Amino acid sequence: MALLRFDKLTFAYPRAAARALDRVDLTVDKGEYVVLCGPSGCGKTTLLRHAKPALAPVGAVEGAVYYNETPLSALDARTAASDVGFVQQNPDNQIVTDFVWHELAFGLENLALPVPVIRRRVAEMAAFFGIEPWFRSKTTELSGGQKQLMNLASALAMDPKLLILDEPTSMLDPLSARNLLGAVQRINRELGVAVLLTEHRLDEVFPAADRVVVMDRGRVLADGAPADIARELSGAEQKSRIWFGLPTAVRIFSELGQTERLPLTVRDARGRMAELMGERPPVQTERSPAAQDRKKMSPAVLEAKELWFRYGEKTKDILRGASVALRAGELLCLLGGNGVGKSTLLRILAGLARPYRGKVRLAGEHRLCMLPQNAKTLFVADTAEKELLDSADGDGTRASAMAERLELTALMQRHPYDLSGGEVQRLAMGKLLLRQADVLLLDEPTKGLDAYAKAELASLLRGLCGEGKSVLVVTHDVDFAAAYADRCAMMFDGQLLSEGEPHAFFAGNRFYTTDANRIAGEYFPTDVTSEEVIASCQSSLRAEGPGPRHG
Amino acid sequence: MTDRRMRFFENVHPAVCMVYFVLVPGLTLACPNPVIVGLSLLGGSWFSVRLRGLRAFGRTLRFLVPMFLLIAVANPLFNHRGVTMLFTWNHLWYTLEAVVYGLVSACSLCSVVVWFTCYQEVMTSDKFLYLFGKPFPGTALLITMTLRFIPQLQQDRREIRQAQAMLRQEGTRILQKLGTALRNLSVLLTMSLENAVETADSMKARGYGVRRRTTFHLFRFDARDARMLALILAMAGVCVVARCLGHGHMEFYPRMTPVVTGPESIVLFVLFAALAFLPGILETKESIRWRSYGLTS
Repeated sequence: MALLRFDKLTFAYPRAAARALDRVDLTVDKGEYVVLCGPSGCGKTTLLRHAKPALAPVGAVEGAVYYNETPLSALDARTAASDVGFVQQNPDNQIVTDFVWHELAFGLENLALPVPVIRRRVAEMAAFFGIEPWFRSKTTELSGGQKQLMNLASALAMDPKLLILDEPTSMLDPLSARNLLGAVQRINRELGVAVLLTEHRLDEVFPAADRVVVMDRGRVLADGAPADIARELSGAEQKSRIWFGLPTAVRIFSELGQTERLPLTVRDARGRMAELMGERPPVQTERSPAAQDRKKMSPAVLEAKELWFRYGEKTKDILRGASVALRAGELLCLLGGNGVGKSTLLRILAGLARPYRGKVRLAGEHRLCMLPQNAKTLFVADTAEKELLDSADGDGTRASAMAERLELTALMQRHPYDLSGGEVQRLAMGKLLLRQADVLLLDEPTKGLDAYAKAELASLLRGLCGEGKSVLVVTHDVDFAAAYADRCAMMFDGQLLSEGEPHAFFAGNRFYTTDANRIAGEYFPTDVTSEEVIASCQSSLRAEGPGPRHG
Repeated sequence: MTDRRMRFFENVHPAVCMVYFVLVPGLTLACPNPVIVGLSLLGGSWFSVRLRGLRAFGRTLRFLVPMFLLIAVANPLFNHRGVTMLFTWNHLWYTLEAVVYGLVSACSLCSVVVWFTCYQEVMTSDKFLYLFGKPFPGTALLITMTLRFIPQLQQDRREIRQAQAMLRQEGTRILQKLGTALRNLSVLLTMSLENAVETADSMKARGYGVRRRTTFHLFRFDARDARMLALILAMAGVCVVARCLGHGHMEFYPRMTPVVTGPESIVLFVLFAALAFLPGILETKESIRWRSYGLTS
């Protein structure tokens, strides 16, 4: 029996020209793990909110939503509150109280449960999620990943039958995101709670999901098992935006025409790669080093020498002699795990913190800007157009030229807060560029962007580098760095350890590398992006005739 | 709080703490008597040093010493009552009674301030809410949310200021500074309102308003708390009775009455001393326990 059922749900926001939802039929069975994907603005969030009466948006509704075959509107308030858990995007804004233990209990207090019952439930949640070490901490002292884990735990504390998550990882770095999605999977597998999740980090959720639903423009386009959906998306004439977010394994093999048994995980893909390539020897792809060398010759725009930093006299060192040089016209990616001092280094380079030893030097006439993690802090006006005008000091031609360049022209009358993650970032970047910024520092710019928006961001950054501007990106996103950086550097223990051109950089790593390299590293050790692997595979297969060679 | 040193009062039940913090400063104010206020000031200072460390207590002193001096000096300067003349100046009497009264009231006020610094350290917001939140769950939640909101606002303000500095150099003139501040404030307001909508959603999603809520807490009233409470009430009870019988009280004008008014006042002083030094003793015992019992091995 269906736990949650959308029956021909149609919805339009007041004064909107188009329907936000158009005859959506969707069911979630007991204990099922359903992933909902689609481009931003396709109606995912609107749909999810309809499953929770307290959050349902105001507008014209047709059709109905059933929970356990009872219309949601007829459900009593207590069941509606406790049986469907809802976790939103922003980890900070969902927090209500000042202590972790209190936050976990918040929903249970609302249900007016007696204190001993709450105490037991809260203890269970803390144990299940491993929250004990920071159980008595203040909520403001937690990291983003911990905050979101706490939000998940406090939704689960109410003992829901269905958990709805609206892009829960979009504000998290990849490691915390993986951790959170792991917790969601455990909730589903070990507790049998049904999960309805929207997500664009599909390589994480695709193998775990029971069903994938694809939406676009308020309609359900496809609904089926992950492998079938992967095949369907890969078979399409025009590659949809979602396709770019599919796991690397799926994309490589669908491009190679192997759509019969598409692998979803790296492990399966390695097996398929071995079947396909047989015992061919490894091939080193030749790459012309000319462009790299030219950049190496160009002078450093921003240079930091042996920076040492700590927050207080009695705290530990965050930076231990970190040196970095950013050259004119280059895109440098700084990689590394959590807490190795990447963001601190960036803040020092931007002049927001001072090292206790070492120097930062910005060459000559350059203007350095840092794009803040929360780009909304740059916005002061109520339309995108006014934002750009504000930064252009009222110069309309410069503002509209910038809008055109960043492809924001269509969005000029929108409120900056209504833009999607990628658009917010482009607008923020436009504001900084209008202030003549030519050395850009970006902290985790790919956070919350789907693969397509990431590619857009990359082409924008590459364009800026082409004009001689320099970009330094701090990121966890290995695929982004591999595909678009001129140079990558790895940070560890407060120092920059290895640095180099992406192919040389990643090919030498066994674990810290891209999925594409993990899949095909045995055959094409110097290929790090899926495009390179695909090209190499194709040329290799063509050269030796079709089919694998045995013996 | 970065210092994770063991503290006895941290784990005492809020009700016991509250009773103590009402009784001791209350008795101090009720007994304008050099012995009582002196004991109270000493006991409170010892507790404050044990709780917050010497450095923090030093910071309090920087404000406390001027206050003490101001009161102690101001009283004889402006108050000329009393019969024991010390000297005359400008045809005015400066009397011993006024000097002593100034010292006693300065001591009494300073001791209340010192006790309050201890109160702040011990009675964290969650303890206060536990005690007073039950009859007013709505207000209690409001206070909790405010306590969470303030650090959030501070952080947002810092981020906004840094981000806006990327766009516009902050001016040096007052008008420019004011303009920047206003601009940043408007950004902060917009952002906070936007965020508040999501917080409201998160509250609704977790059933806020479904029924009258309960207030959860982590406190237990255990045997030790009962013993503490009994001890405090017994000692303070005797003190209160003694005070009602007129002991521990002193008249300053026109002539000072004796400090000791009989054997009962000695009992009062001893018991009050025990009461005032109780937290200091307990806190010190706690740190000695860790030093000498080898618990840290």
